[in-house]
Amino acid sequence: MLNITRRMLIISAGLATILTAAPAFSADKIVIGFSQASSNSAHRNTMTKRNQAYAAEHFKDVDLIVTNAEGKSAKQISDVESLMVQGMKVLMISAQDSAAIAPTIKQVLAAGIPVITLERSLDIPVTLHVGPHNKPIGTLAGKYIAEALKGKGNVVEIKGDPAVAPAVERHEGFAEAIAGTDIKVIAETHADWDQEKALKFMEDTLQRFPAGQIQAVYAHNDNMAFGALRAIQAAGRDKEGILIIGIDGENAAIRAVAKGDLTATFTYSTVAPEGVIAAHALATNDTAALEKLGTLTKKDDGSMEIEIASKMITKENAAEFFCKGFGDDPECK
Amino acid sequence: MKYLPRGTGLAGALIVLIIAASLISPHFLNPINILNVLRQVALYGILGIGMTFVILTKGIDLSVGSIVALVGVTGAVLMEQGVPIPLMVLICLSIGALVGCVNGLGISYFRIPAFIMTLGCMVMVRGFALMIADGGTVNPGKLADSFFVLGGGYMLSVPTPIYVFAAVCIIAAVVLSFTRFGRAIYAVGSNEEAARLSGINVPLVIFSVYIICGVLAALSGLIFLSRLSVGDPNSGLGLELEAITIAVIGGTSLFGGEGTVLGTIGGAMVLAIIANILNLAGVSPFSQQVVKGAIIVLAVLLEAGRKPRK
Repeated sequence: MLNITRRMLIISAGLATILTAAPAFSADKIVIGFSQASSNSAHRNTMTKRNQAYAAEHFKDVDLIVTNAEGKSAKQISDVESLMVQGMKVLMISAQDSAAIAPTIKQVLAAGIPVITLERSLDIPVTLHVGPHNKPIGTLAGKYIAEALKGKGNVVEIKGDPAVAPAVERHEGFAEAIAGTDIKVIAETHADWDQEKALKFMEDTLQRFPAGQIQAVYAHNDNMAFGALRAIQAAGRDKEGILIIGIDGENAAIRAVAKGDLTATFTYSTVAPEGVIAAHALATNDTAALEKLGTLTKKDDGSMEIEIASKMITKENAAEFFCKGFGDDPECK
Repeated sequence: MKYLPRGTGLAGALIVLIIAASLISPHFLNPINILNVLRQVALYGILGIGMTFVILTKGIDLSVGSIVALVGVTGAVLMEQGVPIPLMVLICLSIGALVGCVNGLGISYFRIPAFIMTLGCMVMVRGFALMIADGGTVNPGKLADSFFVLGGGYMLSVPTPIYVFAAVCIIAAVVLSFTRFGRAIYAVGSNEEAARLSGINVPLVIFSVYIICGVLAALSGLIFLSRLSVGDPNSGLGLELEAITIAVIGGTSLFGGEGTVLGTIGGAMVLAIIANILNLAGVSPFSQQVVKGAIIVLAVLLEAGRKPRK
């Protein structure tokens, strides 16, 4: 009996502390919730950190609460629910799984809280989606290769993980861009964004196609482009002038482009600080701020979208992008 | 078939594979391609040897892929900080030993099933790797050239990892065939109770094999790091399965007590040649998986057909 009473006392004391502390924590500030899907990629971590840093520096009136679902949809649902309890005015979310989170997002919208999806869109209409588009990036890469090779040549395509949209769309855009030219994809694989897998595949492919038979490598991300580069260098075929094209604009890749090791890469926005700027704009009804972020489209169902266009990085302009991408670069510290 | 000597199935499969490969692609027997294949054999074979030690005691180690990732990022960070290469290598190998120790302690002294214990370590160690690398890759900048040699370089025009693998194999074969410890490993795997009654310190033997497996995983992680020159916390996913496959194709019994270093080398060769020839033949990425799976089953069937059923 005594034990139970004591436990009840402790629990109620704890509850009381939380209840009194919570409002004090965000007294008269605008609470913005940011539900991040996972922390196992430099792209997502940059998204989180740059948004946090920008908010801390520029929005003194904002209390940005970040949660991390660690790659689990179930956790992301409870993260969003806890953000609602904390009185958020706007939700920014980068979804782990577009379908799994949809019902929760509907509840958030029903509660009158605007929702901004970052980078990964949902199947249901939300207030605003901000992010880069994958297909146009593939198209840019295809057009670049077609021009550089004057419409004729053999390309090796190293694709990402086929289970996710970026790999599918980066392929589609590329295939459309080279359709009708004499550019042929002579070998392809899914290296699942993994450098070692790309390297291994490229080693074999270099054996299959001797000197002069490969004009370009199109890798769906910079990491795999590096794998191809190492295989080409190790085989002593870096003098053939094989074009190596990556995507994402990682800091290390931007350096490699400047050095001439990689031929080109295309930025894939981390939606930072655009995410928190958009959230602040919605919270304060400052629509003018939204227009500055990128191409704003208003859809029939009332939702909005801002596309952050990809930029092409080649040797000529690489220096402008030093340290503005994401990922580790020893010279950016 | 049961009167044929041990390993005949595997040797036969290898010969068939090599003949088929050279018929399918004229590039297969190109010396540079052979060296490529042998380098792959070395990279994955080292993990396979470690796994063989563990499986011989009826165990399993699911944490090797995560160790590869952790060693990769730790090594890259240490190099970034200017830690001398020999010290870095020593620290990385100790990390492998440490994870092996944790696995071994849990399994041998606390009697946690190997599958669960190493699964826990697999998740935890991957977490450490992600923490250290902050999710992204760690780029140590200009790697010391002396370190690049380990994974990407050549000695007497043979890729360095092959020498490392050869050394590992020789030591492993000597330990397994000619030492009391080696005989104890087989004894523990065949019949733990009998081994204990004949005076073998069973927990100590089990503890030791996980340390061996951890250190070899770390060695493999160092080679991966040197080869890629960046530390990637997401690398090595699924490597544990690759290592188990190599050991099993090589004739190591998942029920313990049976398996050889030579078999494991053969297993690594089968896997590497299959992967190579599918790429050389330009087989589509999805069909590759189907073919790979089918050939693995076939190789194991051939090897199993030799044994009388119990």
